[in-house]
Amino acid sequence: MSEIVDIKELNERIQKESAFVDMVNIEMNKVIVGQKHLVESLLIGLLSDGHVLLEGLPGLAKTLAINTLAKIVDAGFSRIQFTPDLLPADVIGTMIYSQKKEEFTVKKGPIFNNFVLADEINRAPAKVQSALLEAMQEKQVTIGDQTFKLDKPFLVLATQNPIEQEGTYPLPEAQVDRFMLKTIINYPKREEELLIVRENMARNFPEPTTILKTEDILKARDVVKEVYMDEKIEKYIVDIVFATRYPDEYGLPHLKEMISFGGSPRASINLSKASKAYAFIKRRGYVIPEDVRAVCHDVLRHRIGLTYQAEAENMTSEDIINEILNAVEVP
Amino acid sequence: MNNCFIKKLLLITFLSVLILFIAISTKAQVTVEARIDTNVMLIGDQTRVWLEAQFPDSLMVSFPAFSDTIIKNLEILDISPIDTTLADNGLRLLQSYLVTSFDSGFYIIPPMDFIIGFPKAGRIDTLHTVPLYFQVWTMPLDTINRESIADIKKPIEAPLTLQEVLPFAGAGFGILLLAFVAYLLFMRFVRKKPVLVKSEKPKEPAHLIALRNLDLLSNEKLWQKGLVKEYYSQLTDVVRTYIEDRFEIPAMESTTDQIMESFRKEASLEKNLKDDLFDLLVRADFVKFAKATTLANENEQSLRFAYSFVDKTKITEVLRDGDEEENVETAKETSTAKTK
Repeated sequence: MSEIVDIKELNERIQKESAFVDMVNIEMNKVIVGQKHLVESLLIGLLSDGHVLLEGLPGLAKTLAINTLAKIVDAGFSRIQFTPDLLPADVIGTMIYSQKKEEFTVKKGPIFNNFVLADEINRAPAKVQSALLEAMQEKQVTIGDQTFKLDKPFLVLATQNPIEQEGTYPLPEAQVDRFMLKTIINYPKREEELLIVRENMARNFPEPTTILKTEDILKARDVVKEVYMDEKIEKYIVDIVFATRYPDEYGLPHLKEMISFGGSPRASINLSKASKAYAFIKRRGYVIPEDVRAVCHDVLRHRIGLTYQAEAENMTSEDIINEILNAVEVP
Repeated sequence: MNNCFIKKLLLITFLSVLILFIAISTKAQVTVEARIDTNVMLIGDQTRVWLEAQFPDSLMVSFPAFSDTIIKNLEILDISPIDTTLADNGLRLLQSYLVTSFDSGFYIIPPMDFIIGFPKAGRIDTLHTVPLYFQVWTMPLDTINRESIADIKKPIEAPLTLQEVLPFAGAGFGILLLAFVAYLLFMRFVRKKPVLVKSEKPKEPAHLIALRNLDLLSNEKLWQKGLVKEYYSQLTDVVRTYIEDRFEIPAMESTTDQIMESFRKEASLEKNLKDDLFDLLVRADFVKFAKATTLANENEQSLRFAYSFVDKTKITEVLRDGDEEENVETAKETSTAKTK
């Protein structure tokens, strides 16, 4: 049964509803110089209800970008600095005995916010990571015998540092899969860096304006879900994910030795959701192959397991995704 | 007492005479003989030495046995099996030795021993042949006529037989086969090259394939049947395949933006062609991914542009100077022949 969609009407509605994207970009650009891809990834996560893991060297404005986004949206924001001595209770909260009331009361943790910045997530031990990741998956937290639903929108934006691996607890594959996107932050361009230096020397830090409410985000999410995705695009997405599992079926037999495991069905789902969000950001009511390719790296890079042979040959998941994108036929 | 002694003495004497008579009569029935075909022969010549025994069939006879030589310098070339025939007084056994000698001189073959067995009496006896004499001569030397002295003749070259040649030929063929197999394995696994290469047909020019597929698409009348999405899917597939073959751009694996980005560097393509190509691809994307509806003239225009794009960008083969001259010469020859 094919769904009847009026693309023209949908396109017009998305043009109208996505107008705030330009405003968000303007506000973000006030504070963040360059890092267009980072801003796009945060918006995709925000619009498609997916958590984002940012990986980059220190000083690349990861935390600042998330802080800025939280200020642009009138929503609760908390930052948790992950350290080796952090406890799950420090994240989700705990039961505290009140002498006055002579009973245990719930003390909610910083996770009870719309935006949670988990800074340097790989520095905390596994039990803290799993407490956070459980909340990310279930969108609810249990403290004692009480279960609390987390407010919508609930978005975890985590950062990790690819260097200084000593004393860290790398996220297991099963847990890292819960992040919709893993975005790699690179150094700014020369001109961008020059601007960063100038702004910092002038000590004139612009403040972003709050322009969005949480209801706007939820409304926009509903519209994103309506973005039309043709069957051809769906097949293209499935082909890409299948190519990570069975590369030999797509004319890439040499990758079979390099991939220990490919993308899960969650990868296909997230690739579809992210593609729709990207189309929305580009103010289109339908998804085109360009949208899929634009988000493909961020969605798949943490979902492809590399073998020792791939590591020995200095092959990264980026290389594998590039090869797959160049081999899978575009509809 | 004396009578008794005389009787015993007579009996013993009688028995002794009887035994002696039997012995003499029996021995007289067994004859053994050795003879030679000739007593004189030239050096290197061959002759036969015959051994023969005749005896009653109640007895057993063992012939003397020789292996390489009968005596020193008398070499055995062949030994015949012992031939058994019936004779008047029993059996006759005959065996011959083919012998030669390469040393001149006078030779004596000493008596040969035949062992005679008497199964009934439970004893054996030995009979000897008479000795044989013979002379081996060398070639007489003609010392007066020096020309008669000649070198030793070379060995006669026997012609090669198939049986002799076959093992060598087989071994040679085997070595060649092994070398070939080793070469194939080396090329396949070390050089990583295909061993058997098919002779490929020359590839059909990209524009011919594209034009043929566009004709097919036109004849299918897809958009006229309401299958606009299929029509644009096939149309863009034809155009993208053509671009891939003609410009070596991986168009089938590229998006519209990527194709246009690749064409941005293509200086040989006119700007209006690039613009029209972009319009076609974008229109097709609208139809394929955004359920866009198109007008009939837009569909026709898209097909016309596809034909035009292929036609304007096809590679035309230019004749070389030499080819032209050849063609001209061939044409001249043809016209001359016609005139004649």
